[in-house]
Amino acid sequence: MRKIAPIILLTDADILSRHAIAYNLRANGHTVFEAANLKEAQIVIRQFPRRIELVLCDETKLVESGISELIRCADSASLLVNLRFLAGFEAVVRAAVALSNNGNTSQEKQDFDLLVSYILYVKAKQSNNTSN
Amino acid sequence: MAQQEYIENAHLSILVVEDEILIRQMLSENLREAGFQVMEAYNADEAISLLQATLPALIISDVKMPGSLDGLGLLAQVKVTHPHLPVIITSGHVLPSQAICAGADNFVPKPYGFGSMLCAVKNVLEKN
Repeated sequence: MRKIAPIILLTDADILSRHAIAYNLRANGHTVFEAANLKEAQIVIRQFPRRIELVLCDETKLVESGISELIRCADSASLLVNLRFLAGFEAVVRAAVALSNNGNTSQEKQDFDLLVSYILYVKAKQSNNTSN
Repeated sequence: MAQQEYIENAHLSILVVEDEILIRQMLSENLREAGFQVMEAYNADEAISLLQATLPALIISDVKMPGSLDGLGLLAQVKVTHPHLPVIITSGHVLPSQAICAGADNFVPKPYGFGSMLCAVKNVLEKN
C-alpha cells in the first residue's frame, strides 16, 4: 500500500524564498506543499486536514493580509494542524537560498539546520500529544 | 516506474506553472515520484522570477492564470529569452493548434491523466 506522508505546508508570497526553503526541506526528506498566498494555503488545509502536520508562514509578509483567517481556517479544519510563524524568517531564507546554490557557509547551514531541528521538535511533540 | 528510468530522470528539473494549487501539487508530486526535480510557480510572473535564478529542462504551463501574462504570454517570452527551453502547454480553454502555433513543444488538453502528461514530458525531453 502506498504510504501517505504528512505534509509541511509552506506559505510564502516570494517565489525565490519559497522555492529555496521547499527545496531544502525536501532534501531533508519532508513532503512539502507550496502555497503562494493565504487563499491557496486555506484550500490545502481544507483538502488535507489530516495530513498537514505543520504550517510554515512568512509572518512578515502575511501578517497584514489576513493571517487570522488562516488560523480560523486551520482551527475549523482540524485540531491536528499546527501553525508556526517563523520569526527570523529572513535568516532562514538566506540560508536556504545559499544552500540551494551550493554556496553555503557553515553559518548558513547552521541557520537552516535550526529550521530542520525545529520541525523535528514539533513533529516529536505532536506525536507525543497524539499517543497521550 | 523502473528504477533505471527514475535515475535517468533525477538530474532533470521541470518548472510547473499552474494557479490551481491542487492541480499543481498533484502534478508536481507525481513528477517527483517519477524522479524529476520539480519547481512550482503560481503564475507567469513567478515563473519568470525563477527563470532568472535557475534553468529547468522543461516548462509545463497552464494558460489561464492571474498576473501580468497568461500561459501563452509566458510561452512567447520564454521563446525570446530561452529559445531552446521546451514548453508544454496544458489547457481546457485553448485549442492545441493555438498553443503549437504560438511555439509550444507539445499540448496536453485538460483534464488529463498523469500518464498522458508523462508521455508528453518524455516525448519533449527526448526530442530536446
